[in-house]
Amino acid sequence: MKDIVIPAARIKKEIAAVLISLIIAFLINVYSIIKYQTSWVELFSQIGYVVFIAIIIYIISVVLRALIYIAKKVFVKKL
Amino acid sequence: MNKIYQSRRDFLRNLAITGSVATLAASPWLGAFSNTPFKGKGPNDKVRLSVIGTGIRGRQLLRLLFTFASEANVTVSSLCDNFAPHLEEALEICHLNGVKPKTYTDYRDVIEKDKPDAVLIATPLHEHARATIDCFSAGIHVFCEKSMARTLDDTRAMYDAHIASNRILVVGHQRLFNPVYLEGMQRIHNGELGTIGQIRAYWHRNNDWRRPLPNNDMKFERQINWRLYKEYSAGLLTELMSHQIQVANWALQQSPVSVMGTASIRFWRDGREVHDNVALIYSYADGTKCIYDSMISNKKYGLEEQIMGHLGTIEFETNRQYSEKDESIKAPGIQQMISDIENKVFDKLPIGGASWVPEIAVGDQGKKIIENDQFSDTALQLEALVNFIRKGSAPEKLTKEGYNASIWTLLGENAIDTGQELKMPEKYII
Ligand SMILES: NC(=O)c1ccc[n+]([C@@H]2O[C@H](COP(=O)([O-])OP(=O)(O)OC[C@H]3O[C@@H](n4cnc5c(N)ncnc54)[C@H](O)[C@@H]3O)[C@@H](O)[C@H]2O)c1
Repeated sequence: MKDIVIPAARIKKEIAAVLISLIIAFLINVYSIIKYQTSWVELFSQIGYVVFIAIIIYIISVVLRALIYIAKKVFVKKL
Repeated sequence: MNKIYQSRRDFLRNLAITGSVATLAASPWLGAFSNTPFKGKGPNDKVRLSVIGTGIRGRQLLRLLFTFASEANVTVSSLCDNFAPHLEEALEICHLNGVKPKTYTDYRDVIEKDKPDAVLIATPLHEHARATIDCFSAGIHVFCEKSMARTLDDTRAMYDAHIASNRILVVGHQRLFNPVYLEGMQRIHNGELGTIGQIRAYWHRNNDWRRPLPNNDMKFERQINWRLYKEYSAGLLTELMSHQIQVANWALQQSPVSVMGTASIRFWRDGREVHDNVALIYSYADGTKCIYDSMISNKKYGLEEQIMGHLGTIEFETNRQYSEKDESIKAPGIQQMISDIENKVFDKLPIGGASWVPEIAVGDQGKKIIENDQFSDTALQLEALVNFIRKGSAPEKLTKEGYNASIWTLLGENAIDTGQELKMPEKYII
């Protein structure tokens, strides 16, 4: 079986995407605490929700990037 | 209201555990146990009580008395009733508790022959005044069941006799000794509910309010079912509402300025004279209204006194306090946001425009006023009475609460009968 080789640049890119997703999810939590006037303890207590939202954002980013990649390929071939 | 009895000592210990002692320190019944000197009877002297009227309530008072009688050094020296079967049943209760009281059929014999320290009067309403006034004339303290009397003049005469004789008059409004009420009233008077705009009180039952007659013999009808006849009772008003108007006045720390009302015999058309369906509005000087109703052909809503302020509501009978702030929003912010987004995405568009939101009742379950609500308020009241007798006096505020509740109950009856909004006549103001 042939090994799948993921280049270091790719890994770095994905880690960055995960981190950005986590930061966005974290900021959403901060925003909702302010908007609904709830306790700042939720910064920690709602970490499960934050991770869950981060995963969704990451998945959306993967899908978006894949779509962009495919679109680019089709576009470039046509030229 | 009468629940499992805990002795005062147990109850106080439990209060100490839940930290409520401080708030109850100012209460009339804890005040009764303070260390002020005994001007009436010494702590080692037996307090002798007589029960006049040994019907359902009289026997209930007896049973409750025996729950603390030996601890409080109290005895039942005599019983009085003009209906032999009731007297025998009461005597039986005493015998079971190792007490052998004298028995009489005329209350004047209680006064002249037994000479107790105090009497507990639980006769039908129209009989309260005569016995109370005669006891005061003989220097005997009186615990008289609510309502005080059948007529306004008799009520005033009882109060005057109490003042003239300097004897104790405690009216059977046991809620005045109920820790749920004491704690709740403290909060209301401290402003926790904000401005009280309205008190809603009701008492609903679904039964004919009749007691069975011995051998179904109609000759006992008026003796047994006295509360159904206007000569003896104002029906739901004196029997039930009097308790609740007392609570309303206590909560607002004032008496009403006027009352209007209407009533009917709607369901139990069986020859009774008192209404089975009543509705009244009591107005207070500051604009507060107490809206009252009572009926005996539906029991879904039971009984309640709802004290409604702009910051919260207290419902005494169910021991609950509610806040006007929407305490149902307790979910973490992020979850609320997700649910809001979900609602926005999936909810149907409103048909009648965005502003049409029906004002349904708040679903909030509220909080208990006090945790430990297993007690008998009547037993606490009787224990306090014994201590009042030892001290030789009771707080005048207690007597006034009973007096004003009785007067306003009877004015309610007059308002219904005349179809007019009535104020308190000058001569009944104390
Ligand atoms: N505080 C409360 O929660 C509460 C509860 C129930 C009743 N009550 C009050 O207690 C009183 C009695 O009610 P009840 O339900 O026991 O009625 P009841 O009819 O069961 O008892 C009244 C008793 O008084 C007796 N009686 C009548 N005339 C008498 C007289 N001249 N001398 C001696 N005895 C006489 C009757 O034979 C009867 O045994 C009423 O005023 C009622 O409002 C108060």
